Amino acid sequence: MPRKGAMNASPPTGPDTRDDRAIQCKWLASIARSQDMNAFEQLFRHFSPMIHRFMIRGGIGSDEAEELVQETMTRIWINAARFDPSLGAPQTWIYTIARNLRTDHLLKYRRRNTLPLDSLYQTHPDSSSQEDSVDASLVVDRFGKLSQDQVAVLELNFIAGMSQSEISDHLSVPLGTVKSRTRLAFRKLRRALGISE
Amino acid sequence: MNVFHHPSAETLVAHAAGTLDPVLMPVVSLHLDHCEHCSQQQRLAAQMGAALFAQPADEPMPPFDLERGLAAVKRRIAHPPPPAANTPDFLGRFSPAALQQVMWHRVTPKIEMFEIPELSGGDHWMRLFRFQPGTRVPHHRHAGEEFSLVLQGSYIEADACFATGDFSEADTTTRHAQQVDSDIACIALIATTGKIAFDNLPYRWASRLLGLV
Ligand SMILES: [Zn+2]
Repeated sequence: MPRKGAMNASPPTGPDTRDDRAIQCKWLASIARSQDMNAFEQLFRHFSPMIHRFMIRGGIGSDEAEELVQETMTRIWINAARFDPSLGAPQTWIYTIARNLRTDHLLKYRRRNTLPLDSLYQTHPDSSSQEDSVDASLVVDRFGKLSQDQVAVLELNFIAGMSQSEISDHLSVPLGTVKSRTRLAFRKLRRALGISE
Repeated sequence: MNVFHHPSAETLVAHAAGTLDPVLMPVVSLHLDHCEHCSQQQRLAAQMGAALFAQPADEPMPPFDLERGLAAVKRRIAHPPPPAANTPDFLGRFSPAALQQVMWHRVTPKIEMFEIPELSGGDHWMRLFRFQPGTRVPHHRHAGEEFSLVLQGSYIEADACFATGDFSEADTTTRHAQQVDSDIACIALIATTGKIAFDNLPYRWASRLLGLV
């Protein structure tokens, strides 16, 4: 399917390119600066179907998934000023917000007493110097270099939200195999992207 | 800072995916504060996750009503809830200054401990330990995973030295022992998802009596 212009408020057709990223950065900046509702709508149209899909694929029911989409988008609105383009693409930032909300939701559901995931992640990434400069579309392109087994393990980990031992049960393979597939996939991807170890 | 011992690639990926056990998560996060190399790897892993996040699903998805969702979010942000308290600065509790304030609880003449209540429960523990110079922790195994991070001083394990910022991970296949080799007390943050079993029987009893396992 041909890509549509990113300014077009069309549903997402795939991972973002550098151009999409520049536009999304502008949207976020505009929301942060002047609570720009138009920019927010664009962002919503682009990302909310992805967030919804991510919730559903993590095993979350339809109503709760909608609720979590709203929660994620509300956080984006409130925290737009905290987005730092030097640390990564909007897509990565939005993914991490959705990821934390989804995990918090699942942990609550499992009655694990814990702290909000936000507080368990790195909070002061001030030492960061290197720009996260790889296009998501390039990363996806390089997934082609991985074996199906390796891609499957990454998808179960990131998208289905399974831990490595849950993946081991799910695929009926030893935990060590899940770990080595993950390690090899990550290494191959780094090499394919020309990133040193 | 010179850090020599890092989380494995699969651990950094699981951290980026948010699928590590919550008790293990902050130990990795604190290492990232000490280690630019691993921070970069973790960010790359998160980008990988974001790329997968953006990819269409192969399986059919239930419909998502975009207009209804947008209207609902607009209502939410028109009446924003009272600004929620900021995310608690949990990781700040392990800063050098905060470590001065820890209310240690003595386990043996040479070992003190402080349990982090929010993340401990069942078979899961997050604890700070302060080992006096020369302390030996005899050979033991784990029924689950153990992540640890040195916050002060250093110890030796299997001929390798672990100093501030160094990370170590053990699982059910690991059998290890440690000896503190710094002149000052060694403080480590240790998170476990299963019981510890010492090889030595008296130690096993003692550790049970002392509430270590
Ligand atoms: Zn490191």
